[in-house]
Amino acid sequence: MNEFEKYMEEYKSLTEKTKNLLFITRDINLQKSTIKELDNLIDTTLRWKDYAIDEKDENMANQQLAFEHILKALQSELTMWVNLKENKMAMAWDNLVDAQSYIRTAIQAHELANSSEDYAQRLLNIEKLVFPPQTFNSPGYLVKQAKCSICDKDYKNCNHIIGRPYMGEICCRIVEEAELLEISVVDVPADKKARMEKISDGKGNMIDLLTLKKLQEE
Amino acid sequence: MSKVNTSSFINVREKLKDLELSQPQKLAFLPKNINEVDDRENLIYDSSVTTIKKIFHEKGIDLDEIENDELEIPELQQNAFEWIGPIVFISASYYSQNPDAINVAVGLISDYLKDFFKGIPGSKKVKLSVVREIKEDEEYTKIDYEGDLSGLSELENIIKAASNE
Repeated sequence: MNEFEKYMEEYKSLTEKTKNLLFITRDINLQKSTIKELDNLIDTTLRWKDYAIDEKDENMANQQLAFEHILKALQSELTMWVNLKENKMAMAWDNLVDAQSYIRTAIQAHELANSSEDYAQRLLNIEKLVFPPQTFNSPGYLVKQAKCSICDKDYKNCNHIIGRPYMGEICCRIVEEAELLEISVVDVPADKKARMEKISDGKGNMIDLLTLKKLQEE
Repeated sequence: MSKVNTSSFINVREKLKDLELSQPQKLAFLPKNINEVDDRENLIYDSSVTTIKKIFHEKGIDLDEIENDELEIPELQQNAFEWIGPIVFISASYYSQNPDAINVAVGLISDYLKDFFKGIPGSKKVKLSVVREIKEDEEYTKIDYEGDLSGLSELENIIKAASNE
């Protein structure tokens, strides 16, 4: 068995083990130790991605990008269950949003991750069942200057397409100059971390919108 | 559930002339507020326009640009999770020579959106408008589609029906 085959064996074994721990009833110490194991495997995955980039093997680089993000998604979900048990609700929400974002990137990165659509659905189900409905903010702004994350050129003047993988990296548009026009309240935002965190009860108290706990006097 | 609204639209050529912009001969994308502004400095595209232009170029579809060198029309980025497309303009002469033009344009956008929505479960909400020039410099129809990505494939028939074909 060569080094890459050994890595793939470890990848399969650890992803299976992690999936078996993605439940609230599982032991928290087992979950925490697996989060650390995932860190190590993510490092190894990044090394294989660097190797693929050095070899100019775009298919392998994109495959490693998908593996990296599948591992990060699983790790984020596992961290979410740990944080829920430790009563860190806001952190747990952010972990869930990270997991959703990572799995989307994995699916965009390489077709081998297409089967992760079911996992994306699972994360949406967790969002609906475990967390209360929330209200989000969404900024609207005029983009005056934006560059491509792949080639650093003006996004208008290059051939890269947002959301597509290029040699182990997903193309994004980096906004460099913008004018804020409005902030709207929306039900389905692009960024689920932009949520309303607290609200006044009108009696001098601020209420946490995830826990309904009183936070402090206004 | 999807919504389709068909309405007559302003004389696009007259408006472009008033705003000192170029006249499209084939296919072009129009700013979202072209029917509302009197000053071209206030024109705005939806933020998807640059990417959709690239997708069309990639497939070898020739596009006309309405803006000239000294004008950069900014793009409006709205971060609610729905995809808002640019207004697709199809000239009368181009449509008569390429009756499949709407199908091709909507098909390309639809294919791109299938990739765009990968990894996002649940509803895939899309907004797309097409302006068809029925009679050059005289009659224009705008069709606004709002709904799930899967409904976009019906848009060609809706546009043809709206044009009484």
